[in-house]
Amino acid sequence: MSLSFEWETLFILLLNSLAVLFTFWIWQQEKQSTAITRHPVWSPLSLVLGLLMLNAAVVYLWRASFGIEFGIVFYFVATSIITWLLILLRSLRKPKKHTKTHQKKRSFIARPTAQVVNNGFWRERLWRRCISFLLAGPWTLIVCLALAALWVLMYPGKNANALVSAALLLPILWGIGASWLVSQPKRLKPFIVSLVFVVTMSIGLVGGCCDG
Amino acid sequence: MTAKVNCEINTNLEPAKSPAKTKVQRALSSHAFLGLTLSILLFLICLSGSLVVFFEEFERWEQPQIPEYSNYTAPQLETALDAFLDRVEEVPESIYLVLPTAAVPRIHIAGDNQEWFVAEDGALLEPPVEGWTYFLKELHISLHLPHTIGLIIVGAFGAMLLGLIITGVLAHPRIVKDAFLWRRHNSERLKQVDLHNRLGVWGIPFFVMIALTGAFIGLVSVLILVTASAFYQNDREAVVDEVYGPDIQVNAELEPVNFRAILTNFAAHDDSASPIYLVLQNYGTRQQFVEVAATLPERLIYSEIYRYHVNGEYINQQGMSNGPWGQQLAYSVYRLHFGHFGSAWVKVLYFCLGIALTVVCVSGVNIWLLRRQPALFYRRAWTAMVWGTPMALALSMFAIGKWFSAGQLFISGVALSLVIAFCCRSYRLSRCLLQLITAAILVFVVIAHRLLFDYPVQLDATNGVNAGCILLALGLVVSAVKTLFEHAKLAAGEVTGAPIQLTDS
Repeated sequence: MSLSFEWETLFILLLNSLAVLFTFWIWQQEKQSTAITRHPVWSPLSLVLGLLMLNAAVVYLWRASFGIEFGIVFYFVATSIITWLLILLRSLRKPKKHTKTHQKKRSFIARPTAQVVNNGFWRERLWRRCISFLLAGPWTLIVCLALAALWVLMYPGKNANALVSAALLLPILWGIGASWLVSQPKRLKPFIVSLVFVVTMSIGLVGGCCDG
Repeated sequence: MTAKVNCEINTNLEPAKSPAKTKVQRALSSHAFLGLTLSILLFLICLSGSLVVFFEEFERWEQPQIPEYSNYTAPQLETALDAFLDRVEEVPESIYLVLPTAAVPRIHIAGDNQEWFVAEDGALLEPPVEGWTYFLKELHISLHLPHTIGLIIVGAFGAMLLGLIITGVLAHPRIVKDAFLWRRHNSERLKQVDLHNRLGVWGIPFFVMIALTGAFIGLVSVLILVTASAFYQNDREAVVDEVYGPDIQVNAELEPVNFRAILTNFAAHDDSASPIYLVLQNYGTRQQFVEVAATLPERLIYSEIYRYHVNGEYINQQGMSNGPWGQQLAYSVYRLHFGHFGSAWVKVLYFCLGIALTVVCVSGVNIWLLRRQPALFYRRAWTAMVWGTPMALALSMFAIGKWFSAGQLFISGVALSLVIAFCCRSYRLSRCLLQLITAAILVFVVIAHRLLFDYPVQLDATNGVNAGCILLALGLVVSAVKTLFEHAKLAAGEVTGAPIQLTDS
């Protein structure tokens, strides 16, 4: 594995940077008083279409040079890094004076907001947090495993596809389920619903296995 | 009483829209709960994962005396196999002959946890060491817990990271408005919030991919267990075979392995594929056959497997590259997660993005610390964690000297960082000190490496790792000096009575 670099890659990177800069320009226009919705030359639709086409061209070039699998990964990775570099470069500029007073005002407002959110959150008793953890962790995993098993059972295609899609679905469902459960103020109802689902699924699966 | 106070504060801020929490607040509290609960281990997994991207280079750096070459011959492989069979007490069911690649230009032969490097004449050299790189890999893969349990736990962190990404997006109503903002010259809290959000939002495709592939690798064993018990009469092997394809059954005359015929037929069969290893299955029995694993250009699959009789006659291929999409996807997960595809630049990019995810994790906790202003203990403990772990990892690199194990050195480093973090007057000073110590350790590691091993200075992995250590040390020194200046400024502010942010007192 060498660290050699080709001109072709450099050209695609430049075009990718152009796509990021174009996104940034649209964002800046929108943020400033000259909103693109009132722009005399460009309509918002043409700008969005232009942005999409530019990005499609970049994806196409990545794909043409490195294949579809590598190309898509490279597109996302390059876009992330170029955007971060742009944000870093932008942040190096010293802010204007008037923003300072504005921000001072903002931070004055923001401080008690934080206290409210955190006070409410951390006042929960330890046992409640432990229950939340158990519900979001092991319990949601059990529910998601039952859902994944149901997916394997119902999937119409090849078994290999059913199993791999279930294996990809499992962490997504678990992540969503855990965050949703933790965000609920009352967790009893979701718990009972999921309990009924898991028990029904278990009976169904055990019954199905017994039938052969 | 507390509810009353809350209510009062709330009315001072903005009129409450409804008594129930809004969706954004709910997402935020869920994000905070999951993030804070998982932060320490998630940080450890992300940091070690960023470094593990270079595990092949680290393995070469740990044993620079092993000869490196790209070409190999059939007689060399035959000699290596004979030497291996002479050395092992029992013939393993599968014998692996790992061939040189651009990333690791070395040959090694392995089977049943016995492994040796192979010289250019086919003689066996020393075995690979289970040193610092092994420690780092195990830290990332299983957190040094019993392997399967550790793997599942790390996989669970991948799933929770997906949850954190989703709640993070839902909790960010100004995602478009602030898309390119990083208010570095504002308050420390706003700086951290912007850093967290900008890195988090623009890195979403990569973070989702890493979380999903990591969770897949970790949790697949749990799903195999469940589906095997539900649909395959507890036969886990059957589930694995369903995805990767079953082993073939061969019954042929006993013959010696003809490497020349196998390699010649392989090159004739598919000249675009690059062989990465050979597996001798059921060696010395009538069921023996050879598998040639090879990477394909522009494909993320780990390898396609071509099967041959020992006399070189082609049998079939496993179908990793042209089988069902599920099979192809399952076999692509490894390279996608570790960034082992394309050129070495991919590894560098993966490292940068991995560090970005680590920074997202750290800045998330920093935001909570700045908002909540908890007891000093938490701030110091977090400083010890964030800056002590790299120091401990750097210290554990001295395992190359074989005086202490990497684990012992790592634990000592963590203990030292805790002492420093809790003894310093301020967490800023302790951070600065930890950075300087890490930089010094990295420089000493490079010096120790050069003294311990004799190797030429050229553009290769060993010198690349040393150069990386020096660059990292320089970066840490610059950061520490910057922190010292900031600290001095704050101290001056304290004297003149100007408002001070982030002091320990």
